[in-house]
Amino acid sequence: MINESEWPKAYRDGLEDAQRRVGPPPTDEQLERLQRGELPQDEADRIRERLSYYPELARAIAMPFPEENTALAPEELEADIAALRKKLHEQPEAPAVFPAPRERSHALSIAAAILVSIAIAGIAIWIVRRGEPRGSVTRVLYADGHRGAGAQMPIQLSTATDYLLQPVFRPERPYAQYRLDLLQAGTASPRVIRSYQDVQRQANGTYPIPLTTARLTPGLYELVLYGVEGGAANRLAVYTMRVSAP
Amino acid sequence: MNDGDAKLERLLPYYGRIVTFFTAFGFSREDARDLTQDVFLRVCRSVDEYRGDAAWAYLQQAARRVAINAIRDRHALKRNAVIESDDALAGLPDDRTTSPDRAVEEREASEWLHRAVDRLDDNQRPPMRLYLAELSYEEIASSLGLTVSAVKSRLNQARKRLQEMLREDEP
Repeated sequence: MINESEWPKAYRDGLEDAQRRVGPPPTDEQLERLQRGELPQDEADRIRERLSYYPELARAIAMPFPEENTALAPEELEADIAALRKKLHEQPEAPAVFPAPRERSHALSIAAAILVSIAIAGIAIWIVRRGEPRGSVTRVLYADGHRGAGAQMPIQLSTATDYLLQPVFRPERPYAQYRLDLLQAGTASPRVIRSYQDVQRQANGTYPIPLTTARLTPGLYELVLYGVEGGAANRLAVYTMRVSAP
Repeated sequence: MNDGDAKLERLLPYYGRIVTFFTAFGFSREDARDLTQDVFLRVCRSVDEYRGDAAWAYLQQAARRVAINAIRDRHALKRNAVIESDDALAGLPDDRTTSPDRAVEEREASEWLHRAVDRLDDNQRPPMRLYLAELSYEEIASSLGLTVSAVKSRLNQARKRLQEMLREDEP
């Protein structure tokens, strides 16, 4: 009927049907726990069984990295690196603070400039004296267990700083809404101290929210991302952070 | 030079190897280049610090994660793909090179093999499926969290069992 040398082709031919039958591949969390040996035996066996239907995923976990570049010509490599440097320096544009200038008399312009300078200096002194933040700091956050080697430590945040936090997460399926809860952790009963409802997922896979640490006491916090649908909230990712004095 | 630039300089020697890694999964060269840019931006913008060999290890881990997500997306697209109706397909040229009889035989062989693998013992099925998908012993062992010798032993038993089933099922 079929000899052994024909098995791989015959197997590949029916693989997509088999994948449709068994459902989606294991989640990132399941795969990571399997690799770390953290799963109970029966669950580990179940994940191995499911993973075995997705050989590309298994290969992505295990395939040794190539020893050299065989994909790009030198000029392509150069172009990619130039593009990468440019992207790395791209920051979101700051919103315009002042309206477009209109024509006015020279004396009036000088007077206005002096008044504005005095006001700015006064505000700056007031901010410094209060120890308040002077600008928004953008931080891209990777979820616990997704930050790579040596990244078990919490994400470090400073006190008295305005942050634009950009948690990164790619859900297996889109949800109608997303919510982020900020919890004070490291206590016997962690409590939600702020909830960001209807957070918008951006095209780059982040869920940006503003957070000022001025009123947070130093310590451990958790930012928890939920996918919300039909009244149910699914916990998708956790970002453990430590607020500490600068 | 800021933090991101410093990280980038340390990691740039590995850029081409990461692109090559992605092309091994059937991504087009353009997709592989986009995914590589994604990996480097994530790593350079991350808060984690690393030096020397750790930088390469960190980069590999990030690349594997991006590859896994991209493969997962590709499967999700396949699952959600709209099946073309017979009417729409009717107008397309028939580019099959195998005869209808041969196509039926191949389909039957494929169905038999999948059913046969499903009948193997619990500990033989996962390595056998990956072996049939032409992963190396080392890749099978690493992805399933087994030793290479355990994989070889289980595959040996599974292969014998499949041969037995083949003999039993032959008319």
